[in-house]
Amino acid sequence: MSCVDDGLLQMYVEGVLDAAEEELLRAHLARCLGCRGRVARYKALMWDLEHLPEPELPPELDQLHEALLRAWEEEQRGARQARRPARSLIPAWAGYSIGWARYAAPLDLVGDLLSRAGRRVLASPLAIARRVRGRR
Amino acid sequence: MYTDDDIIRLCQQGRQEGFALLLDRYQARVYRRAYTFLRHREDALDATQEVFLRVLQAVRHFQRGRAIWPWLRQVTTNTCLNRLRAAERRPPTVSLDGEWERLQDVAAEGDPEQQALMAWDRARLERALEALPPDHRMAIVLRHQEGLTYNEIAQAMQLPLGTVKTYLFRGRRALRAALEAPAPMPREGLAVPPAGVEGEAG
Repeated sequence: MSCVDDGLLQMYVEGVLDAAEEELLRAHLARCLGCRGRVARYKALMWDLEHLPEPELPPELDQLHEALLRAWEEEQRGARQARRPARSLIPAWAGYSIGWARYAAPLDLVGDLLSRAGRRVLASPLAIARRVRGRR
Repeated sequence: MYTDDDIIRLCQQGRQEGFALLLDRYQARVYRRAYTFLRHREDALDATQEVFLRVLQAVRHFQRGRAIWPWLRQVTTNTCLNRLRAAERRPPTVSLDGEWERLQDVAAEGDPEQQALMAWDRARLERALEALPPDHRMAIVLRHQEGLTYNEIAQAMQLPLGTVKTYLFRGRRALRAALEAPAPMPREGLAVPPAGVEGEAG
């Protein structure tokens, strides 16, 4: 095996190669000083990456904490207000019904008059009435 | 001691103490992760704010019984990815964020020479990380600081598995190359900042 590519060496260091690949690579490493050196450097790099110090916390985080709590309050207030109109829809709907009821009786009356007029027309000897009766 | 589930339950009941507990437990962690991705203090603060603003709107839909951190990490990752991708369209800025002061603080403890060399190596690694393309850096942070698997990273970054592997391999190779490149070393303790640090800080 000639010198292996970096990707394979990195996967070896991470321990994510499958068993056969790992065995082949181990055999290569046993006789390749250069690749052993690269493995050692990747091991060191990965160790360093895993042990980087955590960044310091800035003092502004306290203010942000307070601001976020205020934002939470506003969000909750908004949610409560959003729920209120949902309840107030009931009286609005009821109002519409009551409003329509005012016109319902006269409309019924108009409908009744029209249907009576229609029956009269059908019973009359007019040409149009005869045609309609003929179709029936 | 409140569990994650207690915190979520309080939040879902609309109680402020639930959200306060969530902040107490996770705000610093979100900031640190955002800083590691973005390498910029103000951007990390903005990202932290954005993460929790998203959280306070979405927490009522959060499924009880699940751990909070994987969710927060995902929101943080998405938020930072959006910012990094938007920033790619802007000219880059250099942020040293008190790097030299950190070096001196570390050097002040224990064996000065040894500590200084360690701090110097660490600072070089941090600067090399900062110089990586943002997607490469994010993949490396998720892998080596969060301990995610390749598949989990692909899911978190919404990228194909092959792309994640490429980012990781290229990123680590670039880091190794940066660390192995000859660089000015601190001499005579740390009385004078290294030329690179001083030059870029000005």
